[in-house]
Amino acid sequence: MEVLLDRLEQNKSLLYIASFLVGVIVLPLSAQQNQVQSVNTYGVPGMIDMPNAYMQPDAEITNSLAYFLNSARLSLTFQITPRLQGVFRYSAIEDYSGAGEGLGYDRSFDLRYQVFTETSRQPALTIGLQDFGGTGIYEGEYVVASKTFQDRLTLTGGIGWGQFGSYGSFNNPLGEIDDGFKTRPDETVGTGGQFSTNQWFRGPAAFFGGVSYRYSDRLRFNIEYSSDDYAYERARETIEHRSPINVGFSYALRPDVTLSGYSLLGDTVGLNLTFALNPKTPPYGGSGNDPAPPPFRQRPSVEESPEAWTTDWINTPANIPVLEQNMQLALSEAGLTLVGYYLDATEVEVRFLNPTYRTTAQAIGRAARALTYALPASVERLSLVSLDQETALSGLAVTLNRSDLEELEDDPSSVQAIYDRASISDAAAGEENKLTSMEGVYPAWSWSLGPYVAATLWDSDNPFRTDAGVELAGRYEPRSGLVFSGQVRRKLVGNRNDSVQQNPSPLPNVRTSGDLYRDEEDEGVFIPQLMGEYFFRPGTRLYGRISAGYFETIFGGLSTEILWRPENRRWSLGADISYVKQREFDQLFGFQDYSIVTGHVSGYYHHAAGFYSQVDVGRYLAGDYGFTYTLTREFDNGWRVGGYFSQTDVSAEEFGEGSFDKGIIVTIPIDWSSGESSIGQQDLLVQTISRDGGAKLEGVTRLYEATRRETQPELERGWARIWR
Amino acid sequence: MAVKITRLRLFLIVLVTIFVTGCERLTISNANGHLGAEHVETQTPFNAFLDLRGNNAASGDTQQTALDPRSLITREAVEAVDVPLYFVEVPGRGFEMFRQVSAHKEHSYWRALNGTQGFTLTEHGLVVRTIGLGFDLENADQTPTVAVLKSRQPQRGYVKTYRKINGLGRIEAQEFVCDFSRSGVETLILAQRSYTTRIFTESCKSETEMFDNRYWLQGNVLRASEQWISTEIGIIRLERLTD
Repeated sequence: MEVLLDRLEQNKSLLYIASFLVGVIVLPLSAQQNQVQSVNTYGVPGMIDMPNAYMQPDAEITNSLAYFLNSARLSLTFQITPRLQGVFRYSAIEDYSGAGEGLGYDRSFDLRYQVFTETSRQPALTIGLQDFGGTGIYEGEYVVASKTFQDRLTLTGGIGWGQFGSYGSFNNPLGEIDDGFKTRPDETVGTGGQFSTNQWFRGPAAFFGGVSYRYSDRLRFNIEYSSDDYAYERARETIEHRSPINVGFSYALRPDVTLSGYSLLGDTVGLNLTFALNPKTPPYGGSGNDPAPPPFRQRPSVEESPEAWTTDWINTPANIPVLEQNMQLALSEAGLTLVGYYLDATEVEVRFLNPTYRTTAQAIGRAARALTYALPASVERLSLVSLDQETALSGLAVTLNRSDLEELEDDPSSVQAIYDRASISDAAAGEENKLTSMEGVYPAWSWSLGPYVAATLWDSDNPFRTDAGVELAGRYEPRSGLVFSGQVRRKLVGNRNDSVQQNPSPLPNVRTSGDLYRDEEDEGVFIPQLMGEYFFRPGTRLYGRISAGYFETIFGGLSTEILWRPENRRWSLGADISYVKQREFDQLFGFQDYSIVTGHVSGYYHHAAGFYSQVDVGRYLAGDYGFTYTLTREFDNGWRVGGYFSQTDVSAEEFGEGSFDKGIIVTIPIDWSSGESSIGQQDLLVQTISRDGGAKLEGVTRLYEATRRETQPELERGWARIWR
Repeated sequence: MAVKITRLRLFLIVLVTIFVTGCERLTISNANGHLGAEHVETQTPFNAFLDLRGNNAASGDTQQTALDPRSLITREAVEAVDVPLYFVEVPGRGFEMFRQVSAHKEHSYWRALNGTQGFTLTEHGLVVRTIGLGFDLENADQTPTVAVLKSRQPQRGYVKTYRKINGLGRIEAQEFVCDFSRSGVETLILAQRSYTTRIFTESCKSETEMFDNRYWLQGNVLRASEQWISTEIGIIRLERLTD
């Protein structure tokens, strides 16, 4: 009885966890979603359990939770391109191990590609690979076609292999091409995480299909013939296959929230809740709803007021402090911090920190407006240098003519016109030594005392492990570019040290020792991070960093990095090298014996259409050599969705569960959801399993990320906000 | 014991939910003053209008019983301030009073008395840009409408371009084909003063949407107007209170 109760509790908690995660991920929901397809229990467009051939709108992210008979599937689906879809799925499966041990958790990845889009005469045709890189429980491939008639009736038919070829199957027709297709090699779960290409489209095949009828804009009915016999679940007697016919409905509670109900295999009923959001449709529109700035202060014409244009003021030293104060106040009201300036009779260069605006363009526009109130009419050229708030690194000097601003503000094509007239150069090429530094900006310090939460999501033995406690954080900047920061924590409650998964690898336990650190967190205060970093510009197009201290929970030491961003190139190059020692488990000031020199050479490339690649080649924390590849789709509004994997000279067996390091990264800019400017962002990292192979040093500031806001491609991407 | 553990987990989740949603509020922090202070304006001449907003919420869903905020705007209060004023209604958001803060060549700049929104208008009162509404108008090329309002003659098939920042953060232009026609005569009462106006309608459509702008002209002065801003905002109404 106790066991049964435990299972029920686990199921309830799983549902709660999943709903919570879905809620966290999608909040706030975007206002409108058009042509979002209803999804099946695997989170991809489909009927009930079977897929159809449709895709979601480009960039759509759907989160679906399917729940039936003590099983749950939480799927995160991203429309990578209009024809390519990727899925990450976290499933809770009853008696996963087959040993009657209750719920087990499984992660799986899918890819779907639409070969043909639908036309008036031609159905859509899609090829899908389900669970191609996980432990293989849901492994299956299919080719499916769908056609919609009169915008109401959708017919779907397909042929499937693997899981989709397990009921009503016949000899694989591909066997006519090659005998190798006739049999499907045995599934070897092993360490999982490897592409099982030797199984794809092999073994028995089966047909599946169905009909979907759109009764209204909100309500749709589905009936399907399923070719999945649920062999895995039936072997564990957790479900019975009574019928291949599944029936159900889906109802749009809101344009972006759909609830589906269905009967499955004639044995059970289930529910599917789907949230959709699209990075392209922010809740407050592209403009956001920032407070209106003051309009540009227009200067009188020289003919009307020649005295207003005099340059004599520069000869009176007493004027300069007044103008300095004007600039400081005006920029401050614009949400910017004046750090330094150079002023003469006709031009000014100002350097300011930007703690407010996600796009440098908006910061530039607001600074320019502010300066028109602060400076005499004769100051025509405004050279504006926005500094990164965290590192104080300069990037670009954007020089605008005040007369251009006055002329173009209300011009219909003003956004492009002012860009064409702007002069953009590397701020490091300027003469920094002629700048007057503002007093009172440095030393700068800040501190905070409050709660912290540390969560580990979607592990294979527990979907949601978390700690909570109190954190005292501090930051001290004695001068521009030199930052000391750290946190002291006291854990109050949590279960992150409950994990049972730690099977240390034969490698140095650079990550699998994490639980030993978490165990010690129960003993008293600990210091997850305490370090100093110095950021500098060694030359034009070059950026540098030197770091020392306790970088992360497990490692501390010395680290340095250099980055080269050549002008008008799609690529950048960087290199970092660190000497680090393993910290004592108590996360205080001591070190253990293990030390290593780790570092990478990194290449960054900006593809067309918002895709970015990063390749890091080098030595990892456990002494293994290899590379990490990251592909990210980035939107001009700041959203990023990407994935990465690492391959090192560690074998899959040595690596352990997952076979190699890989993960998904989603970054949501705060201003996207709030509508109000913010440099903040929410990062969601779904890492399969943190193992010792392919482990990189964390905690130090990476220059590419820290400097990208102040680069010309980023300036261009955000330029639409110049007048905002 | 097993049940206790799972309950603890549920408790933790609830706790985490509270923390995640409330961390920022619970955190006490201090910095040595980088951020600018709140800008506080003392708008003594405008005080007569500041209380009007209390009726704002009532102006929407219970129109039968709610007091029209226009009835609270006196001519005396309008004339007591030395800058031009607009009464602006935004669908679903009630109304706001706007004052002119500056003008340059053929454009004027307006800011909300109580809010954070701003407009740029042509000298005739046509909306060129909005800021702070969300789903704002980045720029409307009002040149064709300025021309037809001057001529006051019916006209068909002229093109107007509206620009917005789309969800991706890029400028997106929408072109509309518009017809301009007369729609009658109406006496408007604005801040206790009546104006006899002629109404003109500008009907515009693109491939995906359509709207009607309406203009109430007293001589050459645009006394009131209803103007399309964006798909999401819809049509706002502007009434010029100052002669």
